[in-house]
Amino acid sequence: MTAASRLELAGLLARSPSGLCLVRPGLGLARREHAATGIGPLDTLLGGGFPRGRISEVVGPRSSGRTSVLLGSLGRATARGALAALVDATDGFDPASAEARGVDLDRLLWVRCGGGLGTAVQAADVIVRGGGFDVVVVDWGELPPQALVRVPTAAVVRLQRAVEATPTAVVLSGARRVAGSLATLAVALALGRARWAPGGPGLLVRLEAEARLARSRERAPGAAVRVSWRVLG
Amino acid sequence: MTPAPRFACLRVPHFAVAALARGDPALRGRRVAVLEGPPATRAVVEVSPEAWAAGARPGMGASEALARVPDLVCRDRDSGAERSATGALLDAALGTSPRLMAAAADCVLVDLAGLTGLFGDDGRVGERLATATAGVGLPAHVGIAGSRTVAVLAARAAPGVTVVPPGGEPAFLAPLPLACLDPAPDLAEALERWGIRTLGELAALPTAGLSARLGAGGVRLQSRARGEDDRPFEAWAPPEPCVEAITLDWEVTALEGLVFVLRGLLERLSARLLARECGAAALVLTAGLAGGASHRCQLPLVAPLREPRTLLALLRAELEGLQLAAPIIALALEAEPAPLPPLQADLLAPPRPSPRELGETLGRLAALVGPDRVGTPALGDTHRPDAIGLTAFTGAVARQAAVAALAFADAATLACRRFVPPLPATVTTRDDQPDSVEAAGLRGRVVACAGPWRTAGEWWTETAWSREEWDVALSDGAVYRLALDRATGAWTLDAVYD
Repeated sequence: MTAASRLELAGLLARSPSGLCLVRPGLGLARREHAATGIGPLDTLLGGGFPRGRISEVVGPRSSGRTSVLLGSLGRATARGALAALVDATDGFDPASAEARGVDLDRLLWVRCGGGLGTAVQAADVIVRGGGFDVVVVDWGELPPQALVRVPTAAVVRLQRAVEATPTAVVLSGARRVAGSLATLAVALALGRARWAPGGPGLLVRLEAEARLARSRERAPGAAVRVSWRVLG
Repeated sequence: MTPAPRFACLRVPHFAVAALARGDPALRGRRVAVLEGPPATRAVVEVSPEAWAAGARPGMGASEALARVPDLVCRDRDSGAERSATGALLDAALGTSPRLMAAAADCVLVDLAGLTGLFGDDGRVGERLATATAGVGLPAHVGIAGSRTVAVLAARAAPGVTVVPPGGEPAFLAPLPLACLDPAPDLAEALERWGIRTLGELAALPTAGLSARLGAGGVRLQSRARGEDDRPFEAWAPPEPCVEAITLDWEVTALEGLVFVLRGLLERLSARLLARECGAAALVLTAGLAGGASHRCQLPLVAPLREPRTLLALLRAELEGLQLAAPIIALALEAEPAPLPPLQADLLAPPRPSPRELGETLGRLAALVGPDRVGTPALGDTHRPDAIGLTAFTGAVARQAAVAALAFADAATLACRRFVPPLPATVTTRDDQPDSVEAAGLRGRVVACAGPWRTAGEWWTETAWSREEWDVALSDGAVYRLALDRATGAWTLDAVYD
């Protein structure tokens, strides 16, 4: 049984005409509309998380917390037993951080693209068309905004067409937006503010940043929330 | 009336040692330990009975084992020798029955249906199997019973040939300890608390109550304790390579022409693999060149594949840039058959691709970025910061320990993004603390910092490392992880907190 037909069957089971609940809630069979990030204020801002069957974007400068947002989303997906994929354009993924944030590495597919912009979008396209992945993240990593201008639009259009028919949430993340109107949702993170422990040898304790809705088809853009991340000791 | 089924189990104890001893008979009767792992953490994975008696145990470090058993002969694990030993075990059993099942590397199951008229009773068949395995250099234990589960337990119970008479399975199983079924730790702990210690006691429990308390895992364990088989007999067939070859009437000099010919070969190869219900674990392309020479290249695959388009894309990626001394006039493509994983998925788990679909996706990704750049992130057993690798992605269910660890993970913790490779930095210091940092693409004054956090390791090897790490906030507003290599005095920017 293919992933698509399996999902359809799960949907039919969940919507029994007799009104009986054939599938227990929480088992993850019914199609969920959003892939949550696990970060309360941000999920509220996004209306539940990144929309499925759509492309979303998370943009921000260094230390704005966009990697933490991505790992939160991957962690939530893998924690419920689903598969997730990270297409890593610059090989900057830190598995130790991911594991600390709850990403089950056994369920994470890591594709290292070594700086290839078009290759990264194509890899995401292959994963989405292959089916069965809950969240697919394309991380542009340290690529500067001027480099991201060269992301091939045709490849992003192809990716958008591919993801439409699937329950997969695709998230692109970098220093600037690359998908334009092809993205259903975009979140802009502002430069974070580091908080240090007072006195003695300094200790980085948390990073605070502002997340602003830059584009949304469901909600009015411009809404913002503050997000805070702790640093593991 | 259909005769009751009978099965034999051939099991080679201390398999890794036995596999090595096939090639080096001098190891027989000696205290031998088989080691595995990197030099710094090499550990014992298997010991011979003589070494066990002397106190060596699997799991020990190499130096600890040598301290306990000074005359211990240490050998590295040889996966090739083990594959050969498994093949030899199957060949030995094939001389008695054509219906075999490769249950594990060290264990072969034999369907004994219809053999009584040929070879005599169960005892004689068992002796025949034991003699055949000894003939290929493997000392196997033989168990014979009415189900495969009981046959395996009989082979584990005692050396030589152990025959459980028809109908005698419950009496044979009843006194055996629970540990012989290798239950999952949580099940073993629960049953221990209940005072259930033997298979007979577990078999006697009411199934409905056991299901309510221990779930499907408990019911499966009880089923095995009653001697029932929990999966069908998967018949093994001797592997025959699939080869498709063609002699060309023209000379191929360009990649496009080669791809055109390969497409046809792959479609025919794929059809043959479909007929066998298997995929290709590797492809070997042999090109005959004008002038009599030949070129051979092997393409290992990340998962067994059968889809011609995917295989062609992988082959094309492998052949791009290939320079040959002469035009190609003949081609042969050989596929190493491997069983494709079953399609059946778990309805109660979140949607995921079938192993077959996943294999194709991984194959396409490997063709796109290279097979060594796709997989599951793997952390090394070290604090070395760059000890990051990739292992094959299976999407397997996480280990229990990993699941437990994830329960304590916190989604609101800050992550890092690494610079690959680390950025060489020029750092000025004041009062032994970083004061300014300059590296490719960034330059700034340190506005706050924490550290140094000193780490060191592997000082007993050539790859020793010792470093100081600092968390620094620069005037550009970002927070970085700065590292000083204490051996060379070189500074690098390792990561950015993000």
